[in-house]
Amino acid sequence: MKQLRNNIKSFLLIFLSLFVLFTAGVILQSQRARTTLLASSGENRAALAQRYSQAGSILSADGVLLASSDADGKRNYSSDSQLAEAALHVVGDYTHNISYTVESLWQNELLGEGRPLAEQFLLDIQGQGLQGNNIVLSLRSDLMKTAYELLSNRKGAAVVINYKTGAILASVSSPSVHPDQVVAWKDIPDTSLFNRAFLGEYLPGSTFKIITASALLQSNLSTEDTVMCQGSTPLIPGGVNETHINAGHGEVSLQEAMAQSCNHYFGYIGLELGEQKISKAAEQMAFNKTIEFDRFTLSKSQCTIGREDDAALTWAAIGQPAGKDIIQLSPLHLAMISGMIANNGRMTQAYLLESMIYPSGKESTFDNRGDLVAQIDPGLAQQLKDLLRQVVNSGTGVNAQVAGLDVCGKTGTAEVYNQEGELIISSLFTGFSNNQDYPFAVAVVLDDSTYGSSQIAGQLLAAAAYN
Amino acid sequence: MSFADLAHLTRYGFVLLVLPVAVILLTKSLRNFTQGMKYARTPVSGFFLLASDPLDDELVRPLPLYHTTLIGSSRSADIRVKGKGATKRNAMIYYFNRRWYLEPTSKALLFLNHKEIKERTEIRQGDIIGIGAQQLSFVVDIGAMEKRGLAEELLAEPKGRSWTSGVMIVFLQIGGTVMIYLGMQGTVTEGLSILVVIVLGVLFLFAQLLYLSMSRLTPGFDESIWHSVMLLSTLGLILQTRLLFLSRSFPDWIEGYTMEQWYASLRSVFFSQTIAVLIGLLLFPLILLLVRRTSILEKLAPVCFVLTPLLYLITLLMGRGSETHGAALWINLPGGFSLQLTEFAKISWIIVLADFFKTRANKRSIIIFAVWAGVNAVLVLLLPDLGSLMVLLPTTLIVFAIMTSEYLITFLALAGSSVLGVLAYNAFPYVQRRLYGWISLWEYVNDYNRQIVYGLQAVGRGGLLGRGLGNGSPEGIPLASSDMVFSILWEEMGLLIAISVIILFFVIWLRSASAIITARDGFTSSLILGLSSCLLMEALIVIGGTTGLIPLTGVTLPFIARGGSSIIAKWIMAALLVGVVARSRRLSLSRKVQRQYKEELEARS
Repeated sequence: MKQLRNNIKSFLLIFLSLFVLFTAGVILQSQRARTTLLASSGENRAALAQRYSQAGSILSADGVLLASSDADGKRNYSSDSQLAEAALHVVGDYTHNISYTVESLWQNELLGEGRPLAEQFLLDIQGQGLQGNNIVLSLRSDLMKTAYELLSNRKGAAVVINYKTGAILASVSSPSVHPDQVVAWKDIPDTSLFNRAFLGEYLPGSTFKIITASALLQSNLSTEDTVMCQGSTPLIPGGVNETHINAGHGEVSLQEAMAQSCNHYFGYIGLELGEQKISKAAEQMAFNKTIEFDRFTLSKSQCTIGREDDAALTWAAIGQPAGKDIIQLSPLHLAMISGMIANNGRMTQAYLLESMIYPSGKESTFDNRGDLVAQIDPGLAQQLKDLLRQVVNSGTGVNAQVAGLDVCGKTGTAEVYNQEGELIISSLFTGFSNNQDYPFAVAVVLDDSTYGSSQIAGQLLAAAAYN
Repeated sequence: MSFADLAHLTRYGFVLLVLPVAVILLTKSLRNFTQGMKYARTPVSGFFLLASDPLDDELVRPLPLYHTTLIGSSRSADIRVKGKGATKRNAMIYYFNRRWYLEPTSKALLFLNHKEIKERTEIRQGDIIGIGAQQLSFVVDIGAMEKRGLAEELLAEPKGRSWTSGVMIVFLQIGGTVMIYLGMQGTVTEGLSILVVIVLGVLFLFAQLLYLSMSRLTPGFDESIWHSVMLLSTLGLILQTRLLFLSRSFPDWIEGYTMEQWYASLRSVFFSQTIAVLIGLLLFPLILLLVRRTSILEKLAPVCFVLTPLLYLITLLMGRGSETHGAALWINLPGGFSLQLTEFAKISWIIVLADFFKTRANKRSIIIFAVWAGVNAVLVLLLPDLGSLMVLLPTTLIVFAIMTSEYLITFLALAGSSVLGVLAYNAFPYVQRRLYGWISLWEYVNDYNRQIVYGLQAVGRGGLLGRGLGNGSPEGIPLASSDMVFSILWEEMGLLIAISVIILFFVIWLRSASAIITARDGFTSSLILGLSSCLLMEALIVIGGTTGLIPLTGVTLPFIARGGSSIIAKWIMAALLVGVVARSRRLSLSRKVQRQYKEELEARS
């Protein structure tokens, strides 16, 4: 009897700890399910319709519906199919075939889940407990459409931001496809689900000369010293040369070199500066840093230049890394770099969500707006601004000119071999309008075109300002 | 306010009705358990041993007896003997089926009436037990037998019944039925919805009447176990009815399927479920009274020894249903009924188990049981019904370890079954698939884990309070009403009620644990332990499986999952459990023996 009692006692202890562990385990699993299984592409389709019957809408800043649900739980995307396609990569699909979209990252809010208990209870009493919140984005529907039209099915991305506030006004990735096709998972063109603007990893090409110039301006080297551009002859064996002008630019100083995008000049400057100063200047502009906002994460912009040999360093200095060097960034980051120069050296954190509207009608904004991602000296920003103005006024970026706007910017062409070994040339442009009333920065990347990005950028700035 | 919004509001009510009951029952059971521990060593009344000093005839002192009394020099012995001939565990005196037995538990010499005995022997009034130099005589005091012992007085349920739990369950039943009725508007015809409400109402009313009468008529009726079972069953009925009738729409994509056919199929599933509960409720008082008042289970044990493998064998030869559930476990009966005999085989297994390990068993019976269990296990694996094995194995080990204290053998058995597990993994592809599905659970959705992933997504959607009755989305989850019912429960009723369900199964085990130490004999203890552990294991395995804690096996959640056989079998288990727990702590002897004793007494005087 004694023994039985002792056994029962010890087993009770075992069972009680089992009970506690088990309950904790079950709760942990439910938490894990909330965080990893919901909003994943493997979600139970049958369950979605039921849940989405009272889900919130996604609107653009100008009040155009980008996504909304009807009473049967069917989720409808913008009735304007062009807008629907333009907004696909940001808005996403409710079946979560595309990850990292508003539909997946903000699913709880759209479905009205995870509210504080008291708030939820009040809504329940009013019979609004199942209604989701509406989300208003910072996107401008007209600008999205314009951007999508301008890209006209070429592979690439276009981003327009308000550099003062950080608001993303347009973010388009092309090619795209209608969200209904994504939901049904049929007829989806290659790479059309990829959000190039946020997740693309592009070589900066000559747009990187902004960084090299910034490093130069911060060094004790003179900006007036000139370099003799020798055209197609490499600067040093294996180093940079000019691909377009055989004769070369002649004797160029910083200002002329920037305007003409002279490879010789920046290659030479790169050698003079060394990889550390260039890397430092890049990091001042948020390279090697994860940019996160509104639950989105941009592909990591990297700048790793090793001192392998001088030739590689000259290539790195013009944004065309060779060997083991890596220099890459996302189009949105590229726009943010322009925005930083325009905004007196202050890189404001980007944002996509303007406000949230609760079932009660209450609208709330987000409080972490205007945070700084990176900062440079205002004087340096002014010098860079002047350099970039020359690019558009009389240099390689004349196509970006817009009547009535003080457009500054930098062109770029990047060469990369794809997996099949073919040479792919992409065209980049980043710039901004230097006007108080039109604080817009833009970045355009065309994956496999040698030119055209500066023209699109100009038209986008014009549309942003005058539409 | 639409029904969906109403359900979203009433979910608070469900939580407020279920969670407090679970917490009240849990705290009460824990308190009772510690109290019971104190009186665990209160001896039985009417029976004792008289120890006489061999050197001095005048010096006689009575030694107390328990339902199982261990004599030896060990610290864990109830009566400690010392000196020559004493070993750690010399012998055991225990009560079973209204008789007292003496069983040697070591190789040391043991005498009964001056004759050496080697195996268990019944002892009677006046028998003299010789251990080493000790002489102990077994004494029965018929007069004292009739008196209630101190322990019994103390352990009796407090007079004032706790009304809270009962009343809250009634509210839950009323509230649930009203919600079902409201939710059915617009889905099915008015006639059908009224029918459903009437059937549910009648069931709940019958259950309450049963409770009121049984708790009054049966001394020792364990209210906590009843409330737990009733609450689980109520949740089960509400949930199953909801799965049939709420938020449903006519499957118009099936060609040639008419609305009438659909209603008829819904009605037939509903009736098969409710009839199973009704059968359970009807069997409950019969079984309860039978096992409480008679020793029928003791007599049934040898029958069950044969019956258990027979049930598996019948299923193996005649089982149907492999096309829908992967294993052929259903026996078709005339009249369109089908039975899952493996559910009932569990009960008979537990009875055999209790009989074998009512006390510390000797090596021979351990081996016999091991062979018997092995044969059964092979049959179960051939079915294959891995779920049964997953439940019975831990149950058996728990009963074995607690009743016999053979920790080494328990450990070896555990190690052996792990080896068997590895063998099963290699032998059965479906085990490999399940395990693979479980391992890849958080990686990606595939055919082997889709069910659990969808279930977990439902759990994730449910959150703390659930989405309200009818607001869940069981449509895409395979076997939502049976294997995966816990995730639906969580989605619609929330974490708090899901945890309450786990608590309720623990309450049943806890109440049983208290009863084990105060039971009148080893068989009763062992049976209580087996039944309650089986229910708990079953619940833990299915809940762990649906939440991805452990690989899922085809086990149903007791009292909640769909399945007539499971429901009936679980109600039988509940009735057995409440019945043996309510067994009087007083020991009785058969009339014949009592008469004999009386005659002896008269003859002496």
